[in-house]
Amino acid sequence: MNDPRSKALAVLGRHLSAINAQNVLSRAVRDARLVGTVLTLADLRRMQPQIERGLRLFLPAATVATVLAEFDRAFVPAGPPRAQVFPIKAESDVSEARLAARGLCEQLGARRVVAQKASTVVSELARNIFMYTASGGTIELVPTAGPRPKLLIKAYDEGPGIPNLDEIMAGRYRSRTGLGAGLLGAKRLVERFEITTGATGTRISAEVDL
Amino acid sequence: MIQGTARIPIIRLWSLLLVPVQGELTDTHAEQLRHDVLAEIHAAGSSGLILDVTGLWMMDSHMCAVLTGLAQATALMGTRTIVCGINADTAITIQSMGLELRGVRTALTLEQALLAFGVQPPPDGIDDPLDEIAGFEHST
Ligand SMILES: Nc1ncnc2c1ncn2[C@@H]1O[C@H](COP(=O)(O)OP(=O)(O)OP(=O)(O)O)[C@@H](O)[C@H]1O
Ligand SMILES: [Mg+2]
Repeated sequence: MNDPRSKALAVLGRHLSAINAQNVLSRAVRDARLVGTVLTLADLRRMQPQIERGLRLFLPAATVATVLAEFDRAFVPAGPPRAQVFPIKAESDVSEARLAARGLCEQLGARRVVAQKASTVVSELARNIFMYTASGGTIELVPTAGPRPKLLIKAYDEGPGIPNLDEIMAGRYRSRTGLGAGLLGAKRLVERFEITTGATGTRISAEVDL
Repeated sequence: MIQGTARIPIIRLWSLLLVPVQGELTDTHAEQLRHDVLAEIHAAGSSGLILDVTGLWMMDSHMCAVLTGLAQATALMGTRTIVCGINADTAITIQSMGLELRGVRTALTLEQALLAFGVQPPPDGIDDPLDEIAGFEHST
């Protein structure tokens, strides 16, 4: 069970018998005047002082501190996922970056197909860096949590640049190394796509609404 | 009979070859696979190749190029290739990108790929081995 009440009992039950865990929780609920309500995560966070009082009846102070710390970890909402940076130099870096993209999308609650699209974009951009630059480059994944979650995908390198970009983006390009559809395909998978390229390298920024 | 690279098995099924493509396929693995499959076709005179991609969680344009390249090479040897097991998310992604698996036949499932190569399914009502187990009741 994953509702807040069972989760609280699970944390308490690691240190107390099931009966005493029940006891501590119901006492805290009573003291916090929450009897008869469906407990939320916020309630449990507010009930910490009442729970602490109950725990002191059964456990030594050091253990009480441990339990409270576990409570914190269980009920503080996981912070929004952080930006991740991947140096791209070897082929395995490409796999790592696209797996991380999928993980971030899942954390942000994206549907599977959307996560797959975002990961594919990362795969295209990362593989291009691996294939066409001698010095490698970087993929940066910047998630935005909230009601309209997004993933910003940045790819940059100091490679030779893409002189025939217009031809490529117009779909008139025939690649010798692949299908020649990676960049155009990536652009079609995202909501925003910007690319600047020149003799000093290539910078791409793509944003997916999750 | 199973042989091939350490990671991707090449399975002989009568005159067919079945390759369950799976995991993270590196360029080295892809090159090895291509070599082994073509060598096997040459040696065994296989009449068809099935690339089952059920085990791939995503297919980017590079992976599409690897698979079409393999299919085209086998076609030069007179052997047809069918790719099966592309899942819905992958199909949507490939289609949105405007990619195509040019010159490659596809089938929804491995069973359909086998049917397309003329492999017949076992007749209906074939003995269910569980029937033989005393006291076993099928749940309905
Ligand atoms: N970061 C980069 N630096 C330099 N050149 C690049 C870079 N990315 C792409 N290119 C050039 O642009 C071309 C088109 O790239 P795109 O990803 O669209 O197709 P492809 O890599 O050739 O084939 P595919 O991606 O379909 O396997 C490449 O062939 C390459 O010449
Ligand atoms: Mg590419």
